[in-house]
Amino acid sequence: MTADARLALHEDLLLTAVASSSLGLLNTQMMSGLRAQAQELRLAQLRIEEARLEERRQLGRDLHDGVQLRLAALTLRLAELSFRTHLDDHGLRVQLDDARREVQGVLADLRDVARGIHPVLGEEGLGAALEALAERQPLPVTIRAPEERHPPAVEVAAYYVVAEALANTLKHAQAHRADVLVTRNGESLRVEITDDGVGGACDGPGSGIQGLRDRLRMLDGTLTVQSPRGRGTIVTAVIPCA
Amino acid sequence: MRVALADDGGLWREGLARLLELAGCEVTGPAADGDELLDLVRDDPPDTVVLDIHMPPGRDGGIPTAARLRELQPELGLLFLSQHAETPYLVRILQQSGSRAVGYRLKDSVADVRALHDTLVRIREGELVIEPELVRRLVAPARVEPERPLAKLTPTERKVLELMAEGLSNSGIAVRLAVTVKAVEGHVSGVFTKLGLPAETDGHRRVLAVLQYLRSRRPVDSP
Repeated sequence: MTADARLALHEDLLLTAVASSSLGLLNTQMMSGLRAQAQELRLAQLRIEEARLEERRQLGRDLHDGVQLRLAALTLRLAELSFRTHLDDHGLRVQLDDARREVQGVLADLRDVARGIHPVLGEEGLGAALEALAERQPLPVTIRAPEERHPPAVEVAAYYVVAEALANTLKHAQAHRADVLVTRNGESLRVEITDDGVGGACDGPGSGIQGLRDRLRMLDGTLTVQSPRGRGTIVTAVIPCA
Repeated sequence: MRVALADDGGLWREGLARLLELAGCEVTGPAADGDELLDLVRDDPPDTVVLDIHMPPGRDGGIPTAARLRELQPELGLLFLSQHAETPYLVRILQQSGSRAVGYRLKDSVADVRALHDTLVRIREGELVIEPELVRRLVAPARVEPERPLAKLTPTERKVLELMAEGLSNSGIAVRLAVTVKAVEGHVSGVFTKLGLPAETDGHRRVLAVLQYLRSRRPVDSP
């Protein structure tokens, strides 16, 4: 090849090289721009989820300090009236005691409502909240969970995954028992709910499970359901803690 | 009996103070949070303290406050009240304040002069008093796997177990069931044998053993 020809070829190659690296550079810039946007979106979702959580925590507190407190104080007034009622007036005393029991019933219902709004976690953590949940189920539920704490949004999400999974078990599975296993897997919390029921669980659009999945996605979490017919159901959620 | 009262809900606090007086107590205070309660007890020592678990400092300040009160006055009776009757809170109370002269009851349950009085008397006598609703939940038959020994208790044995878990002594159980103490001792022995638990004669250790057995939590296997 002549020197000129070699130069011409070299130039072509050079130009092609420059052109493709510019394209490459453009792509890289686009990619990092998109990544930055995705990250911002994720952070925004997290903030929304945390704001929602705080709202519900506040609602729980308002319920406790407002309605529940006033009703509790009312039971005290009725108790006082009952006590002060003359022993001869047996009928009145009975009615006052009935009224008090009625209010106590309302308070019991309110406790259930409050638990649905935000788990009674206090300073206890996820294991304790799950234990309290398990105690209220009309079937045996064992809980295994670590003692350490995790970010509040993660703990609350894990709690509701278990609550929803158990509700489904009760509704459909005809199970004799359920087991809940919570473990820390590196940077994530893994929650597994197993029942020994009939399987065949539906987790399509509109189901409670799908709603849970969407909520978990806000936290970058995943939810899977294994439910072979006749062989029980396993619901597994993985929620990043970082 | 001299009772110091602490709760951050004014309405409830006023009403309970009146009920305590009707139950024959002399009420000191009231205090609206843990720090006020500490000052109150230091200045004017009572026999028993009635306090809300969920008052300040912090979210559940009642529990650490009670531990500090016991340091000041080891013989002090403690009655913890809450809108919730939850096993995890009971466990933490037992860990921080022990099981002597301690009670944990739902606020609605003590809205009764007789019940309030009886609870305070039992605490004054050094007993552990646990909200029956909490215990009922723990012992509920539906919660128990059929193959577990718990499911094989007779109705009477189940009732005795429940009353043990509430903190009642053998004589207390005898009164409640209208049987002799000897009969109760027989049932208690039967229960412990069936559950495979070492027989505990000491009241407090017994309650703790029963509660431990009834809880749905298994210890975590290390990862």
